[in-house]
Parts: sequence; structure tokens; C-alpha cells
Amino acid sequence: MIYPNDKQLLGGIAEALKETVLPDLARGSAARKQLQAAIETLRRMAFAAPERDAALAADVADMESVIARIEALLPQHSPPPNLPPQGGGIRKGDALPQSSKALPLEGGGLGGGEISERHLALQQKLADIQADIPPNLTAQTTPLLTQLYARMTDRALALIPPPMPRTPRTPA
Amino acid sequence: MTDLAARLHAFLTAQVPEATDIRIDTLTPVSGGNARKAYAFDLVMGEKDGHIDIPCIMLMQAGAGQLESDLTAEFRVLEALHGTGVPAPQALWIDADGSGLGAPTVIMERVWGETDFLALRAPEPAARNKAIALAFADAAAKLHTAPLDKLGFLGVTTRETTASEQVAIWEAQFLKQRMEPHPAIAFAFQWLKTHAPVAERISLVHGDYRLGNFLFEGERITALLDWEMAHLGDPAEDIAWAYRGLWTPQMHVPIGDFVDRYHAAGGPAIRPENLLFYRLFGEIKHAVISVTAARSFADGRSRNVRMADRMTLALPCIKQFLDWLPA
Repeated sequence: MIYPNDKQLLGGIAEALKETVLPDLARGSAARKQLQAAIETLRRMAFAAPERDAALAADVADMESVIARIEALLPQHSPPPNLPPQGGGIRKGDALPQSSKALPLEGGGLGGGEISERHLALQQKLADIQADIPPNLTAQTTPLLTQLYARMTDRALALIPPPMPRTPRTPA
Repeated sequence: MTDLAARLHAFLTAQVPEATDIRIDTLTPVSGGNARKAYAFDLVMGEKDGHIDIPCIMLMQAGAGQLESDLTAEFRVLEALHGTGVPAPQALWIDADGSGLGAPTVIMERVWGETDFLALRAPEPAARNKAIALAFADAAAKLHTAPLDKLGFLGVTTRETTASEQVAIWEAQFLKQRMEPHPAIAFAFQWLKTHAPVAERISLVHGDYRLGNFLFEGERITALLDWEMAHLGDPAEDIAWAYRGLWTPQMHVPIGDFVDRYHAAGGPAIRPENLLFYRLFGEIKHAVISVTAARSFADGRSRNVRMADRMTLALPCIKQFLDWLPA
């Protein structure tokens, strides 16, 4: 079954709730605020659904490219895996074992499971690599990393729709 | 509500044993933030000189939210600030473990005023909004020169270490709460750790000093609210936080004018490099608050739908951090 697709389903539910349930809830009430938040989230997911996998795939290609460029800069004798990095930073292996088990992306959600898993693995690799960059290389690696993160953030932000227009207040 | 009113009556009777005829009037729920339930009420009681009426606000801890808050510390900060001239509600009673009221609770004096930060960011009334923003600078100056002698329970920090300590606190929160590696945020913490500045002085820092976290009446600030992130640190932290994009008063008072007013009101010197550092830090701190909120919903500890998609608010923070990062 392909249709209704995620955009149609989630977007449709958001619109239906907005038109049929929201008007029945008192302005300023906790229930109304909760429903508004739910509608906003459904709208955001519907808006993102058609483009999400492409954005993740672009991130993956981008991360692989930057990782390769940074690895090419690193000295041959890098520290063995799973040793604490010099000067603090996030240690290899201490990153979210509980979280990644607690909230697996097993093909669920809106995107393909494989692209999500690859994305997560590359995020972790970047976190590990950047924690191990020797100080004498940071002038070269920092622009690579900050530009990568800016591109990834822009891609993620592009999947967020503009805010929902509020219903104007009418005099009682 | 009746049950809560009964528990409140019993609690206050125990707290004020010398009072007679204790009565709880108009116990009413009011807006109290994401992790607290708030109620307004009037405490009416008999004393030797007759009856007195104390307008009160009661804040009760209510499940997980954006942050784990410590009501006891907040209560003690308010106690310490009483009589210093810093506009803050007077702390009255605390049920630290919730044994009396069903959840950890503080009761404080109810101060008159409104909090509407959208109104303060609106173009009009421009004169009123500018006056409030300048009053906010005055209040910051008072806060940051308040005596520290009663605030020992907040721990010890130094001018040299305070920035690193704050970065470490928020990095630990990030590592505990994140649901994926977020290498951009991890990178930001690495940068902050290697660029932590020395503070000009150590002050009481509010920690969430912004439009929306104070009450105002006319052009006057009547009380600074929400002290749950208060700590000892660099006063530049509060100024930087006040000018985050989400709630900045920049359209009425540019940050340079705010700092000038702050100095004129007796506020300590603010180094530009410290201000930039804390502006960068503030973006990442807010990203971590969003990570924490999203995690509390994903784990089922919060059933506040407003927390569900909070990660979308972390993205503009990361973007702003990267945009402001010095070359």
C-alpha cells in the first residue's frame, strides 16, 4: 500500500484536527495548547516526509566526503580506537549506548531505516574524529567541520514549514 | 482542588502554628511553565493584631520537562535576595520533599504584574517597551552586585574556572540526554571548552534572564521570576542570554545601549569577548534544553506534547552558533 502517503495522511490529520477539534477548545486552555502542539508536529512531519530521505542521503554523502578529507590530514599514527582523546572532548564509545538502544530507528518513522542507520553511524564517526584532531590541525579541520554542520543544519531547517497562521481573535 | 486545598490548609497550619483561623481563599490554577503546576491563592489568617491577607503563589513540581529543577535551591536564592533591592518575590514556605502537599512545592509572595514577552517585543507601545528593557538592565545591575554572603549553598566558583564549569555542566546534560551523537553540538562544546574566558567578577547569575521571566506593571519591573537555573558565575552570561533571538529586546534597546545602561546603573564591567563567548554558549545551552525536552517526551517521562518536537528548536541554535563562531 502506497497511498495515502505520509504527507497526505499526516497533513490531512493535522488539517482535520485544526478544523474540527481546535475550535471547540477554549483559548488559552491547556488542552488547546496541547492540541496546537500536536497539529504543529503533524504538519512538520507531513511537510518533511517527501524530502526527508533525500536530505538524509545528502547529509550522508557530505559527511563521508568530509570524513575522508579529515582522515587524509590526520597523521598515520593516530591513537588506537577507544582511548580517551587528548584534552577532553567526547570519548569514543561513551556516546549514547542507552539512547541508541532505547530508541532504535528500525526502519520505522518516515525515512528508510538504512539511511537513518548510516546517518547515525557517520554522526558518531564525526564525533570520534573531531575529538581526536591534534591542535596543530584544527586550523585546517575546523572550517571543514563548521561548513559541513552549517550545510546539514540548513538541510534540516529546510524540512520545517513556516509557522501555522493563527486564527485571528474575534470579539466575544 | 478540594483535596489540594485541604492539604494546603494542613500544611500552612503546621508552618504557622501561632496563627488562628487559617483560610485558603480562591485557590486557582495559573500558568506555571512546562514542569510545574502553579496556583494562586490568598492566605487569610488571624494574628494577635487581627486578620492578615497574604496573596500567594504556589509552584508544584510536575513531572519531567525541559530541565530537572531544584526547588530548594530556588527557594534559598529567593530567601537570600530578600531585602537586597533585587526585584524578586519573597519566599515564604517550602515543602521540599512533597510530603505535605503531594509534590515538592514552594510558596511565595504573589507579586502583581504581567509577563507577556510578546507584548514587550511588539513595536508598540514603543516607549513603554523601551522603558521596560532599560529597567531590565537596571535590574541586572542590581542582581549582579547583590551580596553573595548568603549564597554559599550554590557552591564555590572562581573567575578563572566559572566558564569552564558551566560548559561542563551543560555538556554533561547533553551527553546524558542526547538521542543521537549530534556531532555539531559536540563540536560546539569542544570549542567552548578551549575558549572559556576569565570572568570580570563572580556574581549571582539568574541563568534564565530574559523577557518573559519577569513581571511588569506599567514601565516598572515588579519581580524577576524562574530562578531554577540560578548559580554563581560571570554576569556576562545573563546579558548574553537576555539577547538571544527568541526573546531579545534588541528592537527597542540595542545590546550596546543595554550594556551602557547596565554600567550606568552600577553593573560590573562586561568584556566584549566574554559577551561573545556567552552568546555562543547560550545558543548551545538552549540547544541542550531542547534536547532534554525532546528526550523527556520520547522516554515517556513527560506527556506534554509541546516537548515532543522540541528538537526543531535546537536547529536554529546550532545555526546561530556556527554563524557567530569567530573565524
